Amino acid sequence: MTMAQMKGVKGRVLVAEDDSNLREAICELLERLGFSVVGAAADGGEAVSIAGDREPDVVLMDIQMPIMDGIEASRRIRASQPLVQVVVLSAYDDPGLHQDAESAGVYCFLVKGCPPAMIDEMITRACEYKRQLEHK
Amino acid sequence: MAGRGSFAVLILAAVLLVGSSAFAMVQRDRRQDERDQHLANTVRQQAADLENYFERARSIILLTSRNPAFARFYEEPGSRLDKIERKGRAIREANDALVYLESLYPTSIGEACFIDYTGPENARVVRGERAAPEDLSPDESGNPFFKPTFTLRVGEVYQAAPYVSPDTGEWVISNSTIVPLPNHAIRTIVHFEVTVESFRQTAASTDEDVDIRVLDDHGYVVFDSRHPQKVGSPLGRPGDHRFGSLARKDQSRGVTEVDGTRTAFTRLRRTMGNANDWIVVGTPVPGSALARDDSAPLLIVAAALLLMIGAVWNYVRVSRTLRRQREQLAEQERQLEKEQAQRGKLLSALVDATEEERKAIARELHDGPIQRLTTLDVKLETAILDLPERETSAAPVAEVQSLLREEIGGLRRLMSRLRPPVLDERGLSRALSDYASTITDSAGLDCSFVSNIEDRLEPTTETILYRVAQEALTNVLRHASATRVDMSLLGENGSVELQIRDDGMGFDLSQQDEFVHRGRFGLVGMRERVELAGGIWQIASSPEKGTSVRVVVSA
Repeated sequence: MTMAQMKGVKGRVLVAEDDSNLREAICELLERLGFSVVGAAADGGEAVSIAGDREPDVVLMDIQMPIMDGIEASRRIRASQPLVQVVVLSAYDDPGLHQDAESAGVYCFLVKGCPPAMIDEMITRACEYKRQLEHK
Repeated sequence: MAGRGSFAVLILAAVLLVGSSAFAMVQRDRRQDERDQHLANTVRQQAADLENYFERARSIILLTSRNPAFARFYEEPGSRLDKIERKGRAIREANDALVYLESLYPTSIGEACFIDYTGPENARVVRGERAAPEDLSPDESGNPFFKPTFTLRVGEVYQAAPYVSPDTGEWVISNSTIVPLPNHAIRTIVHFEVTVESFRQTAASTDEDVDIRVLDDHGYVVFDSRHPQKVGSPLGRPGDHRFGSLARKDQSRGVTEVDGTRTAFTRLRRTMGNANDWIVVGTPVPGSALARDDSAPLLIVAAALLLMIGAVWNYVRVSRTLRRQREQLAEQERQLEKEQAQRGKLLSALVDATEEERKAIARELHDGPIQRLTTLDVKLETAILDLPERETSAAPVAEVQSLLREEIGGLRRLMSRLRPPVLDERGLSRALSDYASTITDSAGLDCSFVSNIEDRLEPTTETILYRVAQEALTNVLRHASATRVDMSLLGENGSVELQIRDDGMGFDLSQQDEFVHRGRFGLVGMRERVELAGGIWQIASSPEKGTSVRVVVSA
C-alpha cells in the first residue's frame, strides 16, 4: 500500500512538459482529478532527476523537449525505476515515435488534442498497473 | 601571339622554299657547267689529238719525201718498169722508206705508195708488206689525193678527205706530197693513208663518258667513237644530220644544246693543204654519269623540303587549333563543373533553407498554437470540474473543447507534414516507413514500403527523396484512385533508388505541360529537385495502367 493510496489519491504523477502554461494547466487538472502531482519538469533531464527523487507512479511525458527528449528520458526512468509507468502526451503522432516510445517502455502514447478525460483514464490505468506490479 | 607566330613560320617557310629552290638552281647550274666543261675539255683534247695527227703526218710525209731513194729511182738508168722489176737499190730503199712509215703508225697505216707522175705506182706497202711488181696499181690518178697533190709546191702537203682505199677497202685519210727531184720537170708523189678506224679507236679510248663524233664541213659524220664503221660502208650515217647546224657555225668552239642534248664542239684549225675541215663534237654517252641530270633530285629535295615545311606548318597549325579547342573544351568543362557545383550548392542551400523554414514553422506550431490550444483545452477541462450541474452545463464547453481538439489535430498534421521529426532523428527509411504506415492507417490505401538502407544518407539527399515520396504519394492520394501503392528505397553501388508505383488510373504523360499551365507544379518540382541534385528522374504512366516514379541519386 503506497502513501497515495493511504491518503485516497489516485496516484502520484510527475508532469514533464516544456511549455510552462500547459504544464501548470495539466498539473492543476490532475490535482483536481485526484492525482498527487509530485513534481513538474521542464525538460527530460529534469524529469529523470525528479523521478529518481520522488518516485512517482506515473510520469506524464511530453516528447519534444529541450536538453533531453521524452523518449530518452522515458528509457532512463524505466531503466532505473522499472515500476514507474510513463504516459506520453505528444504533439507528434508519427508511427515511428510510437515505436520508439514502445521500445523505451512507455505505458501508452497519447496525442495532444485528445480529450483530457482520456489523459485521466490512462494515468489512472497506469497507476493501477504499477500497483499490480508492486503486488507481484 | 599565335597570329604573330604563324606569320613567322610562314615567312620562315617562304625563305626556306626560296633558299632551297635557289640552292637547287645554283647546284643545277653548277653541275651543268661542270658537265659542259667536262665535255668541252674532252672535245678539245680530241681536236688537239687530231690536229697533232695532221701536223705530224705532214712532217712525216715531208721527211719521207726527202728520202734520197725516191730521187735516185729516177736517176738510175732504165725504164721505170725495168727498175721496178729489177729491184735495184733505189726501189728497195724506196720500199724501205714506205715500210718505215708503218713503224711510225703501227696498225694505222692503210697503205703507203710511191707514185709515178703518170699515175702508176712505183712502190707500195700495205700493212708492212711490199707489193710485188705485178700487184702495183697501174693507175692511181683516180684517187682523190692525186690531182691536188700535183698542184703542190715542194714542201707542201695535201691531206685529202676520207675515201675508201681501193687496196684495203677501208676508209682512209691520205697524206701526200711531191717528191723533190733535181729535175723539176718530173713530179712524183709519195703518200700514205691512215685508217679512219684508227682515229675512232683513239677517240673511243679518250673518255668513256663522252661520245665523240667528227663531222666534215658538210655536217656528215666522219666517224663516231661509239659506232665503228664497217669496212666498205659509206662514210657517216645517212640522215644523221643532227649536228649539221654546228658545221655552219662560225664559232670555233662552244657548248650548245642539240635536240635536247648538251653538245660540245671544237673546229679544227684550218691548215693549207688539209681538205679535212673537221669539227669534233662531243655528247654525253647515254646512261653515263655525265648524262645524269642530278638537278632533278635537287628539285625533288626542294619539293620534299617544301612538302615537309608544309606538313610541319600544317601540323603546327592543326596542333595549335586542336590545343586551343581542347583548352576551350576544358575551360567549358571547368565552367560547367563550376556552374554545376554552384547549382548544387544553391540547391542544397535552397533545400536547406526551405527545410529550415519548414522546421521553424513546425516548431512554431508545436510551441505556439498547439501548446496554447492544448493548454486551453486542459484549462476548460479543469473549469468544467467546478461547474454546478456539470452534466448539463458542461455541454457547451465540451463543444468548444471538441472544436479545439479538431483544431489541434489539424495543426498537428500540418506540423508533421511540414517536417516530421523522425526524418531528422531516425533518417529517411524510418520516415518513409512512418509515412507509408500513416497513409495505410489514415487513407484506406494499402501502402507498402521496403528498404535495404540502414545508414543515414546526406541530409540534403534524405530531404529531396522524402519530398519526392511525399509529393508522389500526395498525387496518388489526390488523383490516382489507387487501391495500392508500393514504395521502395534501395541502395546499390553508391546510389540510391526510390520508386513509388501505384495501381491507379494513371495519366497521359503528354499532359504534364498542361499540369504546369494549371498551376500544378508537383511533377515538375520533383524532377527539378532531383536533376539539380545530379540525379535521374523517370516517370512512367498511361491511362488505367497506374503510375511509376523512379528516382536515382548518389548516396
